[in-house]
Order: sequence, then structure tokens, then C-alpha cells
Amino acid sequence: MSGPIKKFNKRLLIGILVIIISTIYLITLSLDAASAIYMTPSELISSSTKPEERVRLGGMVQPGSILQQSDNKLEIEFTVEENDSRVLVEYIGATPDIFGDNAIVFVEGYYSNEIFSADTLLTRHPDTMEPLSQEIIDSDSNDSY
Amino acid sequence: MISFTDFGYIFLASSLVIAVYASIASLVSVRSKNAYLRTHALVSMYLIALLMVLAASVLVYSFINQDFGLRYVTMHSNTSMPLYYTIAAFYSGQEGSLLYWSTTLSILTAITLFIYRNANYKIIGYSTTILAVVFIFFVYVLVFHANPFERLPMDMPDGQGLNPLLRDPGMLVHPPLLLAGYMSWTLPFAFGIAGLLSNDIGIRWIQLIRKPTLVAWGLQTGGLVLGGWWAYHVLGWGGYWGWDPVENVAFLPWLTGTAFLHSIMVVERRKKLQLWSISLLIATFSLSIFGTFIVRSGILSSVHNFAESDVGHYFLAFFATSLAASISLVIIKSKSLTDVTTFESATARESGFLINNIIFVSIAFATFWGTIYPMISEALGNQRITVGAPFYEKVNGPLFLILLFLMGIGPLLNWSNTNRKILLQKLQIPISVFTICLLIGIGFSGDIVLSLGFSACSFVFTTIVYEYFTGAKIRTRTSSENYFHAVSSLLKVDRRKYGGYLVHLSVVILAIGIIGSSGLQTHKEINMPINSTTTIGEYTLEYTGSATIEKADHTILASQIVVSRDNRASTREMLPQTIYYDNFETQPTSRVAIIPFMKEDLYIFQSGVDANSATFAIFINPLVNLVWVGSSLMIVALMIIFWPASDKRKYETDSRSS
Repeated sequence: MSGPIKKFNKRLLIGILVIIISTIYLITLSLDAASAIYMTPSELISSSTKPEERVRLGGMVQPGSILQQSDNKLEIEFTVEENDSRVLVEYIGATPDIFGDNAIVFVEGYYSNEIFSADTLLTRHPDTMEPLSQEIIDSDSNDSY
Repeated sequence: MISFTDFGYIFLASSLVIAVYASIASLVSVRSKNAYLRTHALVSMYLIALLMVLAASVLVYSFINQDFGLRYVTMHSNTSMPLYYTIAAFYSGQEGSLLYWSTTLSILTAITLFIYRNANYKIIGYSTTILAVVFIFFVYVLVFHANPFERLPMDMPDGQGLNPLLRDPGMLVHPPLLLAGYMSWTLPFAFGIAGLLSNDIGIRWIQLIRKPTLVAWGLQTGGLVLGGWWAYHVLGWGGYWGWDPVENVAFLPWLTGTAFLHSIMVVERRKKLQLWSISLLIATFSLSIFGTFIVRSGILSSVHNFAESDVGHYFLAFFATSLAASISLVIIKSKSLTDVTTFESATARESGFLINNIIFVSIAFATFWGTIYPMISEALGNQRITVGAPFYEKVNGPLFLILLFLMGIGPLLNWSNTNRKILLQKLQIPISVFTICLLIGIGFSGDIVLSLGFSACSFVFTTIVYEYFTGAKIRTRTSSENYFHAVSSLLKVDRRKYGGYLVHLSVVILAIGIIGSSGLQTHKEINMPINSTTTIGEYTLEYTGSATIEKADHTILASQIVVSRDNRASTREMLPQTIYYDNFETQPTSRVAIIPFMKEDLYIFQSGVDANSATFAIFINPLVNLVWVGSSLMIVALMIIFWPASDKRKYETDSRSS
């Protein structure tokens, strides 16, 4: 694409190759370490996820399921549901604004003994500018914001 | 019966028809050298800008007039919103932001074409066609698939109101600036393709493309910075950049665009990297379209949304077509353009720029890959994967560090070849400063990565100051100016060089802020009973209670925290808040409380409040001020470069530094 290569300094060429190769190496090295498998409650229950596998679980908070420990209010328990599948989630920490009954949440952590220990809790990220309630008055449009 | 808002639609539809005419007329005028058609095409583009401004005004007027018979107005505003949010609601939805995009494009196009109307007729002619085609796509979507002037079957008594997350002063400027940044890359792209089509990628072409590129880069930079500022003040997780997909796609065109900004200097001085630079422009434009599409379609949060959004399909089709057409053109032209790709010395300035470009593109590639990997993985039938922030930090962190070092060395290199002895001599002081900082850093903190980052900043800072110093020294010798005067006249005489250094200096300040606030942050999450205290860093915080305040269309839940600092008698009060807007009760938004001390921010996010206690996330963000200072200076420095110099002086500068 860049026309005829007449003369190219060897050290420069090596430098460029080193940058490209190390970028690709860094990408492959970090991709697995920094990624999580995304699952819904039903998929998680029926899967054979190992306790050391990092999982991102997405679903809705079952109304009335949020329990706060009385001695340490940062420790909470709640159920993430999707249709009829439910997973009990433990989480310690401050919760985001939109967290509450029926909120759409994404938790990341590890699943064992039917309990999901989450270390991050995100509610549906504000990555769209449309209000969620668009669906209510906008039944003919099918953009699922 | 035609209602007032129907005129908005009529303006849109007529601008579409005129744009089709302009695109053909301009193309024919280049081929046939028909000056009459050429004037037609240019006047059409001015007319389109006028029509688009009128269409946009109709929508703005409908918002101000609270016309709840218009679907878009009903969706995004209500009677109790203050006027500035009502106007901001204009670009808060899909239809409005597309209208905003095409209106700003038509205005920028008209201004640019007017300024350059007598420049090279081929380049301007082809550019007009390309700009008109891009415009046609956006207005086609507006007219046929996302009409902001669609009326409801009947008038509503009141509207829905603006999404709570957008009700923030930052939101008045961030989305329009970011969208304008995406949009404005269309101009350099059009000039780039036009240069290819007319086999003219030389000095004349560079003079045309330079300012539109700076405008696009400035808008994009501003949009990114304000996005970070908004996230920092509203989202409440203590940071300003989270490598979220939507942030990433906004960052991508900035990366390739910044690479282009550097590579055209090689085109200008050495006539190298011509096709490479055009390819960067194509990438930047495509990524801008991709970004607009991602922001508007929600494809990245789930692949399933995508199948349901029809506007998304058009974007994808446009993205693919324009990319395929541009790449084919580059391949066709690669033979006829005599691109001299000779890099004989590793320490020549052009080689420095080449490495700079390779790193920028590598960062862009890694960011792009991390962003789309979940989609690819799912499309291949594998498990759905999410890629987190640590991925980007691990891959991009080292690349940015190399880039930082390069920023210190690059400007010291000469075109075509650098005398190594002189180079080493120039680097003596910076390397000493770097080594001292590194040793002190490691000695004090033991943290090698952080110390390396800060010392890299000190290295670049020293080289820039050194460059200014030597430049000023020469001036004090040749003219009777004192040092202070000499520094300012350096800026006047060689604005591009020394203005560029100012941008670099701002980047160093920004880098110190980023390294400090991400590497030295401390935070704790705590539930505090009323009248209890907690300490973090040198601050003691006492929670004294919470209260609710009723407002016209929202309720505020605020907590009071009294902050005292070690060894200081005075106390400060902080009021982290949660706001519940009517119609959006399930979507409360936060107002984070921040005290910006000189060296760090104390940052409190209110997570929950009950009868006798409240939960907070408390952060100390060191040096975060420098993030805002550095990025503001960057824009100021850009304006200094942009400010028109007298032609005579420009010529002097060009001939001297080449």
C-alpha cells in the first residue's frame, strides 16, 4: 500500500517490528486475564462454571430481595433473576444510584455453592441517551434502549 | 393542513434534493472544467447550510414553544424543565442528534468551502462532492427513518422530560462537542480523498487540509475532556475515564487523528508517508462514523439490540461502503502517486514521526480490538465475553509511556539525519533530570511503574524547556530582546513549532494528572451512623445528617458532611446528593461532592441513606486538577497555533524550518 520501499533503516525496521509484536503479545496476554464470561442467571445455573472462573452476570434485581446486614450495612445480598431463573448474589460495598428493586444489574465475580460473590456491581450503564421509559410511550419503535 | 413543524421536514427534504444536485454538479464541473456548474455546486452548499439552520431552528422553537404534538419534543422535554435543559434536549435523542450532526456539518462545510472557494479547483470540486455525499447519507436517514418532525396522533398535555443523567451543566456542552468532533473529521477526510482523486498530495493540499484538521482535533479533544469531566462529577465512581465501550469509540478517531496530525508534517517536509497519511484520514473518518453509530445504536451493550435498530443498519452499510470505496481508491492510486518511502536513518525526525504513528495506531488497534472482541466472540458462537478496564491499562499503559519518551526525543531530531553527538549533548540534562527523579521516586515510594511515569514526564518537560531556552538564547543574541520577550516572540515567529511545544507541555501536565490520580488514588466505602466520624488521608469527616428538599420537578436527598483537616482550625461542609426526577423515579442521579484542594480532590459519593445512617464512597484523587488544567491548556495552545499569522511571516517560518 505504501509504494516501493527503496531504503529502510534496519534499526528503524526492527524498532517498528518490536512495537507491533509486543502490542500483539500484550493484547493476547491481557485479554484473557482482564475478561469475564458474560452469562444470564439461567445460563449460569445450567453451566459447569468453575469457582475460579470470572463471570459477569446480568439480570434484574428481584423485587424485595435486597437484604442489608444489620451490623455492617455495606454487606448486601440480593437475587438476580431472569424469567424463572434466580441467582443469589453477595456484595460488599457502596451501590450505584440506580440500584434497587427491578434494576438491571451486571455483577462480576465468582460462582460457587450456588452463591455468586460479586466484587463489582454496575447498573445498566448510561451509554444511551434515550430514557428507559421510551418503551412505554413508544411502542411502535423497536429500538430497545 | 400543514403545521409549522412540517416546514422543518420540508427544509430537510429540500436540502436532500439540493445536496444530490450539488454532488453531481461539482463532480461534472471538475471533469468538464465548467465554472458555471462549479458556482452552482458551491452556492448549493451554502443554501443547504441555510436550510439546515432553518430546520434546526424549527425544532429548537418547538422545544421552547413546548409543542407536545411533536413526538420528539414530547419524548425529551416537559413543562417544568428550565429553558437551558429544554434547548439541550434538542440533541438528547437519536433524531435530534442526527439533525445536529448534519446541521453542523452543513455549516462547517459552507464556511470551509467559502474560505477556500478560489483554491485549487480540482481538490475543492472533489471535496464538495464527497461532503455532499456524506451529508446526503445523514439527511436521508433523517428524512426517511429518523424524522424529528414526526407528529403524534394527538397533542399531549405534557412531555416525558429529559433523561436525568443529561440534566447536568456538563451535558450542555459535552454531547454537542463530541458529536461536532465526530462530524468535523468529514472535512479533512473529504480533502484527503479529493487530494487522492486529483493526484495532488503536496504543499497546496497540506495548506488546505491543515486548518480543518486542527478544528476537528480541537473539537474532538474538547468533547473527550468534557466527557471525562462529566463522568467525574456525575457517575460517582471516583474517576473520569473507565475504558467503557462508548468512551473507547470516541477515543479511536482521536488516536488516528493525532497520528495524522504528526504524519502530515512528514508529507510536507519530506514528501513521505503520503498514502499512509491518507489511510489515517480514512481510518479517522470511518471511526467517527462508527462512533456516531455506536453511541446511537447501543450495539455494544448487547448484540441483540442491534438487530432491532433499523437506523443502525444504515450506519453499518454507510460505514462499510465508504470504507471499502476509500480503501479501493488508495489501492488504485498507490501506483500513480510517487510515494517515496525511504527511511535511511533511525534518528531522523521523520523516523521519529513514523514510530509515533506506529504507536498511536497500535493503541488504536488494541482499543478497537478490546471493544469489538465481545461482539466477535459472540458472533463466532463462543461464550459471551466482557473486556474490562485492566485490559486497556495493561496494553495501552506501556505504549503511552513510550510515546511520552518519544515526545521528549522527537523534537530534538533533525530532518533526514541527526548528528548523534549533538543529540546526546542535548539530551544530557533531560536524562540527568530523568535519572534523579526516577531514583528519588523509587527511593521514596518503591513503586517502579509510578516513578517511571513521573520521571518520563520530567524528562519531556526538561527537553521542552531546554528547546525554548536555546531558542530564546539565540534570539537574545541576534536581537536586543530580553529572555522574557524572546520567549513570546519565538511563539510569534515560529508559531507551529513553539505552539506545538506548548501542546506537548500541556500533554505532560495532563499525563502527570492522569498518572497521579489513577496511581495514587485512595478510597473507602463506609456506612456512617449520624454524628459518627471517619478519617481518610489527612481529613476527618463527620456525618451530621440528611434531608430531603422538594423542587418543581425533582426531589433532592442530601447528606451533610463536615470536613476538618489535620492541623487546621477551619472546617468545610460537603453535601453529596441524590436527585429523583419526576417521571424517572427509578433513575436517581448523583451530585458528587468535591472539594478541590491544591494537591488533591476530596470526593464523596452518596450511595444510600436510611433512618439513622448513610453509606458513602469516599475518594482522595491526587493531582486530578492537573488533568483539567493540562487539557484546558491544550485547547488554548491549539488556539494559539490556529490564530492566523500574517502571510509573510508564515512564509518566513516555512522556509526557515524546512
